[in-house]
Parts: sequence; structure tokens; C-alpha cells
Amino acid sequence: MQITEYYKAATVEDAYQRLNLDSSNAILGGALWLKQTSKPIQTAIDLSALKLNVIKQESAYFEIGSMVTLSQLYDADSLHQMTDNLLKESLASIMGVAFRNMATVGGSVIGRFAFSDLITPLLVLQAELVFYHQGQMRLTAFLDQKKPPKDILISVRIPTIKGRAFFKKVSNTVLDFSILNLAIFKHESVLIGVGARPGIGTLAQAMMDYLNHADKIDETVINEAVEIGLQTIQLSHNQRAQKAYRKQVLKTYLKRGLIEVMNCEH
Amino acid sequence: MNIRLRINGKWITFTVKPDEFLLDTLRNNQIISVKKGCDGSTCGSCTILLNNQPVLACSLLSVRADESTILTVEGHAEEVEKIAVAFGKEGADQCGFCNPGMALMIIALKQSHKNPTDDEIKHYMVGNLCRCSGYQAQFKAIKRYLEERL
Ligand SMILES: Cc1cc2nc3c(=O)[nH]c(=O)nc-3n(C[C@H](O)[C@H](O)[C@H](O)COP(=O)(O)OP(=O)(O)OC[C@H]3O[C@@H](n4cnc5c(N)ncnc54)[C@H](O)[C@@H]3O)c2cc1C
Ligand code: FES
Ligand code: FES
Repeated sequence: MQITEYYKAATVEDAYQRLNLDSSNAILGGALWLKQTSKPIQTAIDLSALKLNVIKQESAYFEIGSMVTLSQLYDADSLHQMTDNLLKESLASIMGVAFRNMATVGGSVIGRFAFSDLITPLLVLQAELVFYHQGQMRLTAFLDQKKPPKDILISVRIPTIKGRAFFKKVSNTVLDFSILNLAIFKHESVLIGVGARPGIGTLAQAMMDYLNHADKIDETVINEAVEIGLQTIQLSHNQRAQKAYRKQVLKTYLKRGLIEVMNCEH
Repeated sequence: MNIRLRINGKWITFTVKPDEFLLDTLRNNQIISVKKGCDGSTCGSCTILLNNQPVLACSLLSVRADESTILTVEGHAEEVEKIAVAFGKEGADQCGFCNPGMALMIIALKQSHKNPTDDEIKHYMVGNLCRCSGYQAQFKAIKRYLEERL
């Protein structure tokens, strides 16, 4: 990581102007990922004076500032009560405490890491992103953008919807990146997200449509839904796992997770 | 750029580059108990307490630590001595490279958890790797230290 100039922004507008002054200017989240990169940064813009490190509970949503660390989010008990510990479990699987004291929610979302254990649960919680310039958009819409414009993420909003949840990270060792991760959230309808396929997290739309239109949920319906999932969720291989292995793992945990959140007898 | 850090109770001013990391700032100034293992935020050897929170010095830009309080093992000599005794009694020491980071993590664990369960201890310590041991002796030593069986 090479930085020519360090700049502590006084306002978000100030940070935005700086960011767009030069194509090699960059925002610093926790800078853990940036440290691993080799592209030189002209001006590294620090948002830490902008009070974006706060989690607020509004009536319709939780607002998580982009500079909130993964540890702060891990400690957000009222959010975890609402989401049946979905985020807490996913965060617990990301490295250790000292790491999570530094890594930020903003950097984790903007990085659009295919292995992300945070993006997958955020997808099923129907998270919205609030950008300084582009305004509010669904996380799904952001992930669909081919080349997102240079903007500043202000916060992530999670609607206050109570539900039951399941999370599973499969990895070769405890601290390794996911081979596959799976998040399921059930309230009036069920949402299913799969990440590290090794492609970036995605919603299992066909499977969700099938389950959300089923007259009743029993093991036969779940088995059928899992088959639909296996046929429609795109999986592939990388140095961590073969496609066939991912498929087996997905089959097992989709079924296990659905039985758990749908409250259905096995 | 000039930054000021309160290291183990003493304010010190450093001149740092914009892309300098705190681990290098500390080690280049003879604070060498903070170890450089992976230099990539995966091993925990460089753990320090920044404003009482454990962080990885290898991945913290020095400029961002300006005006902060930093504790290394030298700043916690009494507790570190007790941890060393517990490690000795359980045979948890080998090369010792991971010990300073681990000791600071154990102190942070004690401060944040009253009576941690076994799972809480393991979860808290998971980011501190040791290439010599099998972790069992260290786990027993941590329990011994927390239970004050020294
Ligand atoms: C060794 C290592 C292991 C990891 N293991 C895992 C794992 O197992 N599971 C997992 O889910 N994640 C893992 N991660 C990713 C980690 O959890 C963070 O998601 C990652 O480090 C990015 O967060 P950061 O705060 O460090 O962001 P940074 O590195 O600071 O930034 C990442 C990107 O986001 C941009 N950015 C940051 N904040 C903003 C903002 N507010 N507005 C606009 N742009 C912004 C930066 O310019 C940069 O392009 C790992 C990372 C590392 C380095
Ligand atoms: S040297 Fe910092 S985590 Fe390994
Ligand atoms: S004792 Fe050698 S690395 Fe831990």
C-alpha cells in the first residue's frame, strides 16, 4: 500500500470533493483490505472525524454508519434480537476480535468481496445503502452495478423486521475465507442468500419464489425447493473448492437451514 | 507528519510517513516487544492495546493513532508476569514469538469478560496464532491465569 498524502476530511462534502479530484484518491475504511492492495493511492481520505461510527435505531430501520467497526456491529444487541443473531453469527466467523475492532462496515460493503460473510446476511435482511451522491439504493442494486461511481457510503439501513434466521460459513480453517456461506431469514416470507459461490453473494430468487408461494411447508416441499436451488444458484470452482464440493455442501446446509427456520419437523 | 502517542504512560512524538504502519513506527523506535509475524492482519503477533482496545499494529496507519494511548506488554508488567507464570506452569511456552500479542489479548479478555466460558475464551483468542503449540497448554494457562491459580 502506497499513500502519497493523508487527508482527514472535515465534512462529507469535503471528502466527496477530494475523492473525485483524482482517480487514484481513495476513502479509508479500516484500511485492512487496502493494505493488501498494490495500486498507489494519491490521497487517502479519512472519514473518522465525521461521526459515521454510530448505530441508530429508528422506527422503520437500524442505521449503521459506514465507519462502524465489525466489533461495534457485533455488540449491537437490539439488532441481533430482531434478526435472531444472524449478523452476530456471521461477524463471529470473520477473523478475531482485534481485526474486527478495525474493519468497517463501509469497507466491507464497498469492497464487494465475493467471499464476504457480511454481504450475504445483509442481502436477506433487505439492507439499503445510503450514498452521499447517489442517495439510497438496495444492496442488490449496488451489487448489480458493473462499475459503481466514486461515491461515499454514509450508512447501511436494515429494516426493522423481526424474523428467524440461519447462518452457515463453510471454510477450510476457522480463519480462512468462506468456501460457501449461506444466510436464511424468515418473517412473512423467506429470503435465502448464498455467497462465496465463489461469485459474490446473491439471493436464491427461484427458490424463494417457490417457497413463498407454497400452500404448506413440509419436508417434501423443502426437498423440492433445495433441488430448485441447486439447479438455479450459480456455483463454480476456485483454489478453495471444486464446484461439485460446493454443490454438496450447499445441498446439506440449505436443507438444514430451511428446516430450522421454517420450524418444520425433520 | 508529526504524531503524538502516549506509549505505556509516556507521551512521545514521532515523524511518520502517510503510509507508515504503527508496527513499523514502534519497532523502528526500539519498541520491539510488538512482533511482526504475517504483516497482513492474520496472525495477531502485533496486537497492542489502543485506547484499551486490542488492535493489529501492522495494519493501523500511524497517522490514525495520533493522540492515542498505546499499551504494549511493557506497560502491563505486573499482569504479564502473572500470565508468564501461568504459561510456565502449563508448559505453554515454546519459541515465545506469539506471547506478547497473546498476553495483551488475554488482558483485554479479562477486562471485557467477568467470568468467560471456555467458548468465550476460545472465541476471543481465535485471532492469535501460534505456530509452535497445539493451543491446549495455552488454553489451560489462560484459565489458570483468569482463575488466579498462580
Ligand atoms: C486478512 C483478511 C482476512 C479477511 N477475512 C474475511 C472473512 O473471513 N470474511 C469476511 O467476510 N471478510 C473478511 N475480510 C474482509 C474484511 O472483513 C473487511 O471487509 C475488509 O477488510 C474491508 O474493510 P475495511 O474497513 O478494512 O475497508 P478498507 O480496506 O479501508 O476499504 C475497502 C474498500 O472500500 C472503500 N471504502 C471504505 N469505506 C468507504 C466508504 N464509507 N465510502 C466509500 N468507499 C469506502 C475503500 O476505498 C476500499 O476501496 C478479510 C480481510 C482481510 C484483510
Ligand atoms: S503481524 Fe499483524 S496480524 Fe500478523
Ligand atoms: S510459541 Fe512459538 S509461535 Fe507461539
